[in-house]
Amino acid sequence: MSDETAGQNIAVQTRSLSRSFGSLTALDQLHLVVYRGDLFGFIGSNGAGKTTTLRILATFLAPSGGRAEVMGYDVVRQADSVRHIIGYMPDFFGVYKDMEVTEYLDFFGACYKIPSAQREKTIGDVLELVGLTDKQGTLIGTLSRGMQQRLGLARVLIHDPAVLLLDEPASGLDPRARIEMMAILQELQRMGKTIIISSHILSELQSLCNRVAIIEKGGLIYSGPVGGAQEQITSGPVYWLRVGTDLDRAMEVLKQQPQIAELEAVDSRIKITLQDHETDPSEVLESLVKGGTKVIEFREDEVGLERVFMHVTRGETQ
Amino acid sequence: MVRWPIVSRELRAASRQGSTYLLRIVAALFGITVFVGLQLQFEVPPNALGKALFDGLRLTVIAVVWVLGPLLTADCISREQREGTLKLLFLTPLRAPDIVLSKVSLQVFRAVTLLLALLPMAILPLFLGGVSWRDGLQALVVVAASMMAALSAGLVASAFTERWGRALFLSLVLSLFSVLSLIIAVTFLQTGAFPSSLKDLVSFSWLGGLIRRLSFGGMGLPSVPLTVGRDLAYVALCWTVVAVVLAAWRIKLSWRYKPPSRLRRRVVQVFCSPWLWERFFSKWMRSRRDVNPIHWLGEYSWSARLSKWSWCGAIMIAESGVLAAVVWSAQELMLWHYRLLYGLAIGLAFSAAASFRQERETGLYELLAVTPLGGRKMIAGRARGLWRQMLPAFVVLVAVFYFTTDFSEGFFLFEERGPIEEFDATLLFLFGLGTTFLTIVTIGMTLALTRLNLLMAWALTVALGLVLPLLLLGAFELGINLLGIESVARMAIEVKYVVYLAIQLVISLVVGVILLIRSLLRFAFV
Repeated sequence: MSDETAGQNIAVQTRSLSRSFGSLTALDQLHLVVYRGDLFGFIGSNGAGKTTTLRILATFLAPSGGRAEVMGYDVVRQADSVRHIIGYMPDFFGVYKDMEVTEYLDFFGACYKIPSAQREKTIGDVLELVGLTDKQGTLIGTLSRGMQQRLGLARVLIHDPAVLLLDEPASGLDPRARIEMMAILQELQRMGKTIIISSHILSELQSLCNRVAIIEKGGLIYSGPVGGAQEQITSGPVYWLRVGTDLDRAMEVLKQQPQIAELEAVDSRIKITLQDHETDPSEVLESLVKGGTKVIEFREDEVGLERVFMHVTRGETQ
Repeated sequence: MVRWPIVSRELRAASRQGSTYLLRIVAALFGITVFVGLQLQFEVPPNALGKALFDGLRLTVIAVVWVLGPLLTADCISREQREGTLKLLFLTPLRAPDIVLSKVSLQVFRAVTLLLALLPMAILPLFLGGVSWRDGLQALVVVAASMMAALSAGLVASAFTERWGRALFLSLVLSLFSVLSLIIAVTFLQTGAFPSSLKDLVSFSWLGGLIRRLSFGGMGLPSVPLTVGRDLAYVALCWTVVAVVLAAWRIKLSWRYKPPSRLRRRVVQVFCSPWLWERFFSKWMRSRRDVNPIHWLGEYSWSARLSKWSWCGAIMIAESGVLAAVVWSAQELMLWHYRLLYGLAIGLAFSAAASFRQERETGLYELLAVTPLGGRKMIAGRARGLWRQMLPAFVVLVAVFYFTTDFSEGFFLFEERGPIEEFDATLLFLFGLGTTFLTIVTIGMTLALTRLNLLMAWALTVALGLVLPLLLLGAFELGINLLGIESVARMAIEVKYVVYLAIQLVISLVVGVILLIRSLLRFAFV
């Protein structure tokens, strides 16, 4: 991608973004790029600076240094323009418990200056998207936590923002509500929204996001595709082998293969680490079959985002 | 039974809050101000100074107890409800009466520490003489009884709502109710009959008059037997027991969140929702939402509408009571109107200082701040909301003022005419109303956006908007006297009032420019 094309595709960008609270540095020279249409996972331990970053991007907090842009607008100097194109959902957000669902959305619609005639239809659409159509006239105080969370998402979408900033949107939800929330987010990505989502549930982010950033103590540790994060912690891919014949014989065959960097017998299986990510694993499999080994299972070891996170933040989080 | 872990936890938490210490200083300052003010009202011969000081101190302490006691207690349970910690207490073997009694004992302890701040002044009358042990004992009983009843008022208010603002307001209403019920009950116990007329209750000239009634023998009044103090203690004890039972019953019912009952929804539907022209009202409210959603926010709920018309109702009741119960002179009538205006201003200060509190406490503020509304529109919307909340009460007040001045004394504000001839009293009253509104709203909203707690923000709003101009006016007069400028020194009261209003405006301008606009320019309010 050329620089110009990349520049046009950038939805959110921060340069040397810093924020201090007294003597505490919450963000330290953060450089971050999120492309349009990304479902971007924002990962970090508690106090790492995720919420501070999202608050600055949402124009709620002024940075102490550096710059942040959303769709080309500066979050400090063009805060008004930024507010029109972002939808921000904080980790903890209040609701007016004595308002009805539609009244609440209509109120925020008015805050976003959506014309009155258009609001009614928009409210219907967003309620349908988040599955709250049958709760239109219900008092918010009577909704369950999951429903309130979905209502929060509906509020975020009321003005059809291009960029969604979601801080722990699935926290406190039961498994079903979480899965439903993730499905809604995927649907929103298909609709062309750029979504930045911070979450502690890394397994979900792994399957949901196409790119992630890991921050620790206010600094960026990794930013890029999920797969790239996995590659970063291993020299080569790892495969697990289960054989139906003699294990030692299979080990002997494998030891003769130059593309294998490391071999280890674990219980009744063999852990194979290839030389690098360019190596073709089918060659290993072929040599085993030719050597008379009955292969029952041969699968790649999935490096989970949780392991990646623990690896890259080693020493930082201690 | 009192549970010490609760008391200990609360004391530890209070010891870490700066407001605890600040409140003690405020209580002492409040006490000194009332004390000095009372002394200045009366000319006391030197041989009676000890007794006069003692009486003044007694009144001061009772005033502090009745005003600050309920306010300080008002959030003791409501905060637990708001923060969700009450249900954690209920998940332990604690029972509702245990929690309430622990809270009461803690509040008594806090009130005693506040009263200790006034102790240095209590030593003076003892040195000066003229105070018997019976007087001391009687004063102690009256203060203790007042404290129990005042704290009970705050306790009940705190149990019945989880919002701090509502709890404070309710505590003051219950405090007033407590004072009146104590007067009526003690009068009955002493004489066997209830107060003969409403006039007996409303013919006091100021809060001090009310307190004077309660303290049984304040300024210039003879002391009464100890039996009155004893009866007062009995009544206060009964009121405290009722308050504890009521509060325990309430929190036992309300600690689990329940949606509004069918009866409540029915009541709201019948009394607080439009029956006729529903579509019209819905459309009307929607159009208001379009103009300024923040303004609409102050009107959408039935409780907001109830509050608006309650202010109006309170002014109407006060006006009716004033006009019907007593024969007033024109000057007294006008003074009453100014008192009512300042009563409204204190209420307005409360509403202004409570601005965006719910939003800040619940996190809704963050959602509003990131909308394209902008700070200016939010401030303007809230100011309009405050104005509309008080508008019916203001209209009633000005209308009655206009008619009473027109029918009694014509267009002159006071019998002593100053250099301004043909001065229109109603216009001056309106000017005062406008200036006071502007000042209070500016200061109140500014302090609401700071990190001060509601009570402090309210007290500071009143102090900066109403008391400070008075003090500055006094300093201004003193300066003129010292400089010996004869013609200016003999200023007519109208001119003094205009100077007072001008000072108010300057203060609001300074506060507005320094704090409010700075907040607006600072991109967000955090």
